[in-house]
Parts: sequence; structure tokens; C-alpha cells
Amino acid sequence: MTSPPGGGTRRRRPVAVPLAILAVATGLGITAALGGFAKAPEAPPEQLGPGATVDQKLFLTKFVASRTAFQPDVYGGEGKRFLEIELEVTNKSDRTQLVGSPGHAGKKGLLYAQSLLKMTPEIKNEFGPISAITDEGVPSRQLHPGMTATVVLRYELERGQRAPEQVTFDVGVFDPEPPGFSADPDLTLEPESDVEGAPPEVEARVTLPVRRGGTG
Amino acid sequence: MSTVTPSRPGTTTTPRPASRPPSRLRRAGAVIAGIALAAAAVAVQAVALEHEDRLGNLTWTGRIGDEVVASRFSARVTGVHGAKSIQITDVTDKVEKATTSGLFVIVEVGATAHREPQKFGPPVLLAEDGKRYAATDKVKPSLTITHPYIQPGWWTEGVAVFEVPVAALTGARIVLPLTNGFFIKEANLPEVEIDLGLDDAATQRLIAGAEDVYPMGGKK
Amino acid sequence: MTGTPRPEDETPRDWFAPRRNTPPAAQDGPPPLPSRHAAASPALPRRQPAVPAVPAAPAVPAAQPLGSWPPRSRRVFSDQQVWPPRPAPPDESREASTQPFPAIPAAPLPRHGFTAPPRERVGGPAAVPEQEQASGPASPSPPRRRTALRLAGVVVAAALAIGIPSWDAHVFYRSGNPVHTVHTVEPGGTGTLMQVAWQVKVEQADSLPGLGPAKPGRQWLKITVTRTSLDMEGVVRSADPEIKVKHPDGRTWQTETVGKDLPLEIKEHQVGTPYRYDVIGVVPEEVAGQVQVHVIPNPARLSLEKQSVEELFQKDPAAEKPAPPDQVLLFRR
Repeated sequence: MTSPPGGGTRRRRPVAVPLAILAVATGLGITAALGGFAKAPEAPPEQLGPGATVDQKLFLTKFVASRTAFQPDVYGGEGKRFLEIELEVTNKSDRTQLVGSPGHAGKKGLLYAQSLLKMTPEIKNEFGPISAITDEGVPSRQLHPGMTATVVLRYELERGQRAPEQVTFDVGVFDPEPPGFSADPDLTLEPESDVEGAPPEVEARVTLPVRRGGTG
Repeated sequence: MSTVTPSRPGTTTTPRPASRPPSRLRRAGAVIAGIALAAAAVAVQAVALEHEDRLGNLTWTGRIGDEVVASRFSARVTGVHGAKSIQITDVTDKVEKATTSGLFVIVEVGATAHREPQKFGPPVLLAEDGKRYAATDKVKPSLTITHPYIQPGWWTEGVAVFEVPVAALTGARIVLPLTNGFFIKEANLPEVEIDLGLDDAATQRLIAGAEDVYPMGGKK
Repeated sequence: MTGTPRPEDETPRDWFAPRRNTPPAAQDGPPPLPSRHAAASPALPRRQPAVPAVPAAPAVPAAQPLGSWPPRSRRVFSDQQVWPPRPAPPDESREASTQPFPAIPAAPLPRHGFTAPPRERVGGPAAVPEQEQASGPASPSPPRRRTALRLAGVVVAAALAIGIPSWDAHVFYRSGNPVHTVHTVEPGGTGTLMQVAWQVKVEQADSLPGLGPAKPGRQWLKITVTRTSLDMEGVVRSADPEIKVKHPDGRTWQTETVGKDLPLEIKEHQVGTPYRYDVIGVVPEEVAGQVQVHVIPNPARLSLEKQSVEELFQKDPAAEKPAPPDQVLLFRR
């Protein structure tokens, strides 16, 4: 920075700092010119059909089928009709996760099933869908790491309500390393943009035709 | 370190020689020391404890058969079994059979408290690769070690039931945490982590010896 | 620097040229004090004769080489030696100095760390270059390092860094787990807390209905806890208490309330009527005769019907304060 004491005749001009500032400014300028640090615009969501598999980073979800189901009332009542959606879910995360519930009636879902952002057409009922693993003797709501489970979503159909011809799910993707100072143990969906409170990104739209006449 | 040669107050009023200007070597040393300190500060930030590490449990470890003495309780594992399915009989004699795409692992554990009654939270099977398998919800907690109070003076025995892929068995450990308060969460609760002793051979024996149906519940 | 133009400055002033009546080298450092003084005092008629007598005058020759690049000497870095001045090039006089004020004959301040700028060092302006040559590295007196002070600082900082979060965590813990205040009740006696009189009876049982005999080494305890509300305030506090069995050595056992005859509706709760909790516990056989029952009344105030509220309002305000949830009745046996 300074000349050695004792009368050095060479005097160096301080060029390092201006040069560094110039370099940083150039870099920032180029970055800004290319659109800044914001996420590049995503491709529109993929349109998928029955049997399609969506990689949700922490989970792998295969949309198997959709059908109507009937559950007779053991006490001789009318019984209940359901719209069922069958998924095969593989937990790729490092801990047991719970199935939770899909987004319903404008409300966000919970846990794994929150990644099923929206179903169209919406089936209105009071309690929303029930989601569970039902094919292993005792109903379970756990998705263990490295295991694949058949998750069934059940939307109860009110009397006289017709099941739709087909249903379409907006599917989101989980962020394996959610931003934030302390990692939230809850599952977090990847947002559409970096703006605070942005809605989750729709990675894929899966359309399943509803098969009729099945029994629960 | 310093090239200053100060005179002591009161010893003389004659001005003592001041320093020679810092040498180039010393300045370079100061710059290197500054960079090193800055780098050390960044490094310390990087190793700062994560949220979970700061508030997470304090873990005492041991092996199958050991009595692992933690701060508030002691625990031990007395046996590990495999099962392809579990038959659960409830108090009304209703029978259900739980199946799995992996393997059920039934860990027999015992525990005693040191001073005050304790209760276990959901046990975890910790695989060698760090994956955490929560105890299965196909077996009601009332049939497992999480139900009874662990009290001083005697050992309370029970089981923890897990559902894991066969590949996760080798090197697995069981983690027994305590339940936390509902409103006021306590930080750094004790837990024990017990190695189930599943080396390759033991894993093969466990898989080969897995029962088709493991009965649980019912009237005792 | 400001002020009215002097009488002899008739021509327009060039603000960026050196002033004719001051040494050009004054731009290199703080201007000599007398010069500023003269400019700022328009009342004084002319240049004061004292100006040339001040040691600023000899500074001119020495400062000129530095003046070849003015910004260097204006921007003072803490690690750049500004005082004492650097030895002049060989062709300059050793006696030269830019320093306008005389030396202060005091003990030099010890330099330490990066805090003390070198200019704080004091020495004779004229004598320094010679003394530097004279002393050299041969006779350094040991520097004072204030090691003890620094260590004390480290210890205090570390203690605060650990202590304050720990204290905070402890306060938070205590907000949910208060320190218990124990009120001891003699055997067979009655303990009164929050307008409720409590009595406890403990029996050892070999077998309990529905539970059978205790496991080997353990002993069933049948505990009967009786509560009597002394007034409506006691009725309000009729939430279930916490009942524990504790050995004098601190070991505690869980109990279970298997029955109680308190009215379901709080308005049917009678003042002065004893109500009973049937409680069972199990303890090791060897301490079954020593354990004591702890009753921790629930400080929650249940809401009453409207007619009772008037009665509550008539009470002395001191009694209205809810007791903290930390009162314990210890029943000796």
C-alpha cells in the first residue's frame, strides 16, 4: 500500500481497488442484462395421462387410475359413493413422511398430499378427501423412505351428485432444501417465483378418466 | 511482536526512540492474519449448529444387550425379530392383519426411569445411511413401549414395531426419544440410540427367521 | 481559509492556486495555525508578525517532496506512518519537519494492536530520525502486552455468550415448569390451599379389583384424596389436581385417578361437602411405607353461573389473584 519508508523513489498508484470495482460492476451489469438472478421462466406444465409418473424430488408419484366406488352401509342404510384416485407413491426423502391431505376448496393441503395442488373439477363436500394407504390390512398414513405405497384419495359424493367424466390434478414439486434460516421440518413446495408468498409451481397436470361402477 | 520501544511512565522525561516503521514482512503477516481471521469467522458460521442440533435431543448410545444409561432413564434392547405380517387382536377380539411391502421389525425394549415417570415418544429406526423410519402406525401405540409410563424402581418391557425395506436392515439402530411437552417444548431431551447388532450375517438370519404372522394384542 | 480578502489581495482570488501569502506546502497537511487564525479574524489588520517565527516555516523544504503527490499525504491510513515523519531523502535536511507545534515531552504511549495510530507516538520532531538510527533493534525494552486484560476480556465475552442464552432458556423452562412451593401436612392432617381443604389417606393393597396382584417387588397403593371447598372461591378451583407419589429421596411415581364423586356440574358443587378422588399407584415394595403423597391443586378458575359472579366480585381483591401453579401439598405418613 505504501512505499517502503526511507525514501523510496517508486510511487505506485492504488489500482487494485478501482480495478476490482470495475470488475464487479461489469459482472453485475452482465448479470442484470441477462435478467438478473431470478429464476428463468419455466416451461408450461407437462400434460400427462393415466399411468404417468411425476418426479416430485422428494417423492415419485405414479397416477394409476381414478374410479367411482360404493361402500354399503353395514347398518342397512343407503351406503356411500366415492370418487377414488389411486396413486403409487415412493418416498425418496430421508425420513418417514405422512400422507396428509390434498389441497381442497381453495385451501392448501398438508404434508405429502399438499403437492396435489388442485383437482378439477372440484368435488364439494364438507370434510374434503380422505387419503390413506388402504391395501395393507390396516390403514396407514405413513410413507417410509425407500418404500412404495398405494395411496388412495377418497372424495365422498353426495346423494345425486354425479362423478365427473375425468379429473385433472395440478401437481407441485417439493423443495428438498427449502430456503430459510432454520430448515423447516415440514415439507415445502417449490414456489412459482422467488417473490414472497408466491403460489407453488405447477410441474405437471395429470388427467385421469374416471372409470365407473367399481365397488368400494 | 511490536517494534515499539516505549519508555515506562515516570522513569524518564527524555523522549525514547519511537518505532521503526513496520516492515513489509510484518505488514504482509498482518494481512495474512486478517484474511485468516475472516476465513475463520466464515468457517465458524458454517459449522454453527442447525436449529435441530441446538434444540434436538441429547443422545446416549449403546449396543443390543447393553443397559444404556441416559440422564433421566435407562433403556436396553433385549431382542429383534422380523415378521412378514402382524396379526393384531384388539380388546373386542377383532382381528386385523397388517402387511407390508418391506419387512416388519419388532424390537423388544425395556426401560426404567431414574427419578420421575417418563414416557417415550414414537421410536425411530435409524438406518445406516441415515434414513429415519418412524414406528409403524399399523400397530396402535397402546400395544407398544410408547404406552406405559417408565417409572423408577423396575424395568418396563415393551416393543417397538417398524416397517422397513430389507435393504435398510444392516447396521440399523433404534432411537428411543422421550415425549415432549405439549405447550412448552423442552430442548435437549435425552434419548438413547441402540445399535441392533445387525451385521450382514445377522441381517440374513433375521430375514430368514422372519415369522409369517407375528401376533400382538388380545387378552393377556 | 474563508474570510474576507486581505487588503493586498485586490485581484480576483484563484481558489485552486496556492495562496501567495502562505507557503505552498500548506496544502499537504493541516495549515499552520497562525495562518488560519489570521484569515479567520478580519479584525486583525495585517499578517501577524508571529507567522514566520512559528516552526511552520522550516517545514517548507521538507514537505516539498511529499507535495509532489498531494493525495497520499492527505489520506491518512492507520498503518501509514505520518508521525514522526519519514526520513527525508538524503539531499534534504534532517532537521526539516512539517510539524507546526512543538514536541510534547511526555512518556510515549505504548503501541498495541491496531488501535493506536502511529501519530500518537510522541517524540521530538527534530530528534527522531537521529534516535531511530541510534537505537535500532539492539536495545528494545519489552513491550507491555496487557495479556491479563485481554484474557479477562475473552473470559467475560465467553461467559456472556454462554450465560445469556442459558439464562434465557432457563427462564423459558421455568415459565412452564415453576419451582414448587411445598406446604407440609402432618400425618392425618388437613392442608388448605386456595380455599380448599385437602385430606389424604394411603392404604397398601395386595390386589386391586380388575388389576389383580402387583408384580413381584411392587406394591399397589390405594390413595383417597378428599377435597372440601371452604367457600365459592374453593368451588371455582375444582379442576382436577395432580396427584403424585414421591419418596423423600426424590423418586416420583405416577398415579392414576380411577374414580371421583365430584358433581359433573359445577353449580351442584356444595361448599363444605367433602368430595373424593380414588387414586391408585404402584411403587417398589421396599419404599411402600415411606412414600408420601403430593397433591398439586389446579389453579385454574372454572367459570361459574351468573349468580355466583356477584359473590366473586364482593371478595377482597387480594383473594382474586390466581395463585401460581406451583403450590404443592406434601402429606406426611
